[in-house]
Amino acid sequence: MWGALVLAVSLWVRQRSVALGLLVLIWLLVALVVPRIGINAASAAIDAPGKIESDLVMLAEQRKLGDSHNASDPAFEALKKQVLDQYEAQSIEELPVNWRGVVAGYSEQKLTDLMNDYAGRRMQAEAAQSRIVTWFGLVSPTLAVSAASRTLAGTDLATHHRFLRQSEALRFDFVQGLNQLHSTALAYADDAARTKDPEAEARTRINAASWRLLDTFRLAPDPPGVRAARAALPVLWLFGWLGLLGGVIVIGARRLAP
Amino acid sequence: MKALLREARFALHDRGALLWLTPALLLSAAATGFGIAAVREQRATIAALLEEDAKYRADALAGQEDWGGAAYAAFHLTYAPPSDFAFAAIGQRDTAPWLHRVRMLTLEGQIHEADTANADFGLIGRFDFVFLAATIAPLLLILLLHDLRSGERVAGRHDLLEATAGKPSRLWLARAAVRLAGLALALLVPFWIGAAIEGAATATVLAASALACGGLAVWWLIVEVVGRIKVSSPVLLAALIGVWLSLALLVPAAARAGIEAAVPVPDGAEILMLQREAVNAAWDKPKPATMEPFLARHPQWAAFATVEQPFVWKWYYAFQQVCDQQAEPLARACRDGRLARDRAAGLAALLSPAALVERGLEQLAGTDTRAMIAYEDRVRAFHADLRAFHYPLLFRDPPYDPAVLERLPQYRPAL
Repeated sequence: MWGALVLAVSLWVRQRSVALGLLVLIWLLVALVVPRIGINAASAAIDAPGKIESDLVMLAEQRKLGDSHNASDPAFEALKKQVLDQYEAQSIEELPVNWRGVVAGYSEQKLTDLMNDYAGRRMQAEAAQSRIVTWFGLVSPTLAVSAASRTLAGTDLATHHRFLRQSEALRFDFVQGLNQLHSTALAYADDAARTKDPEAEARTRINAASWRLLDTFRLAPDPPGVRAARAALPVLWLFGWLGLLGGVIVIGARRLAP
Repeated sequence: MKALLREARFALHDRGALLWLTPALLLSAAATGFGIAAVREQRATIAALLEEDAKYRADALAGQEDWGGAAYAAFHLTYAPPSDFAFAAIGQRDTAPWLHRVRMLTLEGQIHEADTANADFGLIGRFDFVFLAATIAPLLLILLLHDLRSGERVAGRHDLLEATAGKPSRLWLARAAVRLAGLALALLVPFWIGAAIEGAATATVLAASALACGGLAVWWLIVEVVGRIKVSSPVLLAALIGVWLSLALLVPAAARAGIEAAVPVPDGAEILMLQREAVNAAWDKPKPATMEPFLARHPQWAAFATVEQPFVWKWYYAFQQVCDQQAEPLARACRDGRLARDRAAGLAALLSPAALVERGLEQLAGTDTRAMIAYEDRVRAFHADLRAFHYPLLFRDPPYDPAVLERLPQYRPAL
């Protein structure tokens, strides 16, 4: 691309110093200025709220879901009725499962849905910002090359987001495994007395082996085909640039010929 | 003076000079505009979050029944507002956090749980006035000045001009001064307008203008020295661009890479991990293992520090504090390491006029590493105030009274 550019400029411009100055100006704009302006434009065009900002908005919504550490929170009345009906029990003390564990599992599910919803929105905003920057690749081949190579190498934003999603899924399965144990292996009476009675507290501990629920985690890169498809747009632009400059060179060469 | 006016008239008709001055003017306007937009957005974020934060805290405290629960539920927003000059130099604000929500739990982990921005952005950096003044402007200056003599030489007027000018050095000086001033004005006029809009302090703006002009003057000297070589103007230009490339881009990049390799800084994630593990382990430790190191720092609570139940709040907050004590060496290493890197970068900047201008402007804007660390120290001081407020309530355990919580410490940003 740069080779073609140099050739094109040297074909069209007669004076050496003008050609050099022009090339330096193009390089300056393409390699240094445009990528940074792309960043500015993307962050000005789309407001991707930071973690604290989206957390605050989310927390306001979360309070409506109830406090999962407090099983008597009124938000759980409907759940209580449903679970009591399911086990045909009169009160939570009669349930064959630990009510606190049920609440923890239920809230975890709800809260995770909410958080994933917000995390998804934030990732979408970030991806939209990055798309704007990628569009600037149209005027800056430097940007197109770096976007394409990051994508092909699997070190781009999309891979980062996939890592975040997969580790969250791992965490969720693990916590729900523990909450399941909480419901089935811990007696409600012990659980309720835990903070006051050391013996009850000892009975509410679960075996360290339960932590083996946590699988080892390894992020597998996307298959090459998927990465290549994602990198198609910037690569296409590079070819577009090459085609354009090729045309300029051909015309310039024809002009020189006679 | 007459010579200067004459040269200014010439310059107005010189298409070559105008060709380089126009982009300078446009880029400066763009950089200032983007900078102001970014700073305004940060201010708007802070204002909106302050409101949300107060609402959320009131809401969270409303349902509480004891001191420990209240301390657990109340988050406090801490922030470093951008200065009135930050529009010109966003600096470290893109990479270092300037916003936290802290509560009475272990602090170091909360400080290093950064408010992440788009991961793609840190890779490239912003186009702000600093970048323009420190990196781009010198190249424009080179393009403006390189063919002063050699251009006339090519046109065959060089010797004639020197002969008619009387004192030839004066002629070239006046001609270069006019072009330098033109470039400086093209850069500074949009910047001054931006500073007036933002209401930046006059002294800061003057200092920044002097710094930018000083940087350009150094580059002028470089052009003058290299320009003495008697070669054709394209060769001279190529040589000057080589000098610019190494001084403005390569030297700072190499210095950064070298410093990062030479001065190790523990990762924020390491501190986070250490604290997480310390907190998890603290639940299972015998109570004295927590209370003893806690009382070593806070002997005044010794009389109230017996813990008889499996869970009481004062023990819970004591182990939060002890976990901070455990993370202290690592946190200090992280803070000192970043300062050491910054000092080394300051020394390395002596090699590069571009880096000097950049650091100077960031310092004026309060967006340099030291300002960001000073903000983190303010967060630590605020958290210490929070602890000082809560400990008497947790240890003496007077009857719970929500009215007392109205006197919760408030975070005040540095002015």
